[in-house]
Amino acid sequence: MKRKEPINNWKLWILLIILYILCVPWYLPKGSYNPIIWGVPYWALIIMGISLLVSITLTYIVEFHWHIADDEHEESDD
Amino acid sequence: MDLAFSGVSGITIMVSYGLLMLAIGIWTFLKNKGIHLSNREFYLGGGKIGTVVLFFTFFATQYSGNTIVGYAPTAYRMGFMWLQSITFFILIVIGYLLFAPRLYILSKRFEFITPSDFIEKRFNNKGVTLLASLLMLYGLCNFLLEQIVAIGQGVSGLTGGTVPYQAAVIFFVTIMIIYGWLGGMRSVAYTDTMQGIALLFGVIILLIGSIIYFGSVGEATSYAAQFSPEKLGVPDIDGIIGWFSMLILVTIGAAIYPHAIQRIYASESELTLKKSLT
Repeated sequence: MKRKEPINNWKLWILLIILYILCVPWYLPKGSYNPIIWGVPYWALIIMGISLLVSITLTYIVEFHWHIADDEHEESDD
Repeated sequence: MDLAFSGVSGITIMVSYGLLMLAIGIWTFLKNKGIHLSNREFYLGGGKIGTVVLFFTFFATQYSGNTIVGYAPTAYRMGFMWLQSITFFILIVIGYLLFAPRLYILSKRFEFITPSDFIEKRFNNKGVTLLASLLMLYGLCNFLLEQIVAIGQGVSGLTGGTVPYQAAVIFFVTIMIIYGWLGGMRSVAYTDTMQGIALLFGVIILLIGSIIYFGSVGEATSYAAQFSPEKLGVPDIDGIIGWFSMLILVTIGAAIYPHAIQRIYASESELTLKKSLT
């Protein structure tokens, strides 16, 4: 498998920075909390949704964009 | 005070919990004879910690006594703004992505045991290594103190004062020193697993109990809307700045806990490390 290291993939970091910025509700009207859905203000549900999105993205990155060890072992075998 | 865990039942539960952790330490010591023969065996569990144990030991590393004792009151004071705690715990993985993949490889290649080993290898300077070690120790002293306070407050609070603060601290710290000395990283990781499972079940039961005894989230929100609506609304500019600061602080800070770095070193393989982080 091709060697992959997350820190070298700038596209992933742009995606993470966008999600990072959206994690904080600066873009929603100050002091607003209606509608309340399932006992939770609307904006809190938005933040939880984005947090879930961050979680899914990180799982994807760890799973498919982090692969170094095998190549290292091959190097040491040589 | 008449609480469910005051009196004999509280003492029995706490002593049983402590003895169970001690038993795990003794069992680990007996199962791994060479544990005291090398630093790598003692401090990193031989670098062979598997996925499930590594997951729970990371879990228990990030979710400390502060999470248990401090987060609920913070949520009470801040309201829904404390949702940031959910986000920043997820974002810690971003902190790991910055350095963990390469550090894991380097730790295996150069047989690092402590975070200072990496600093020494990278900078090849005793002064820098000493300074970094002192800074890490300073941070850890605060972290340790926080755990001791959490033990004392947690146990004396849960038992309604039946078990005094000082007694709880001395009892549990003694247990921790014994099992830590006996089994090193292995027994710490195994007790973390036991405590991580207890934490997961405990929080779920606490949530169900809270809903039964105090009402649903909806009722709490209606109450807050009536008496302190500021805890429901989108925060003002100061709150937003504080929120961003907290996310950045925890993303970077929690990922480089010295004891978290040792868990990267202790991982059995890259795959194990990846699975335990997701």
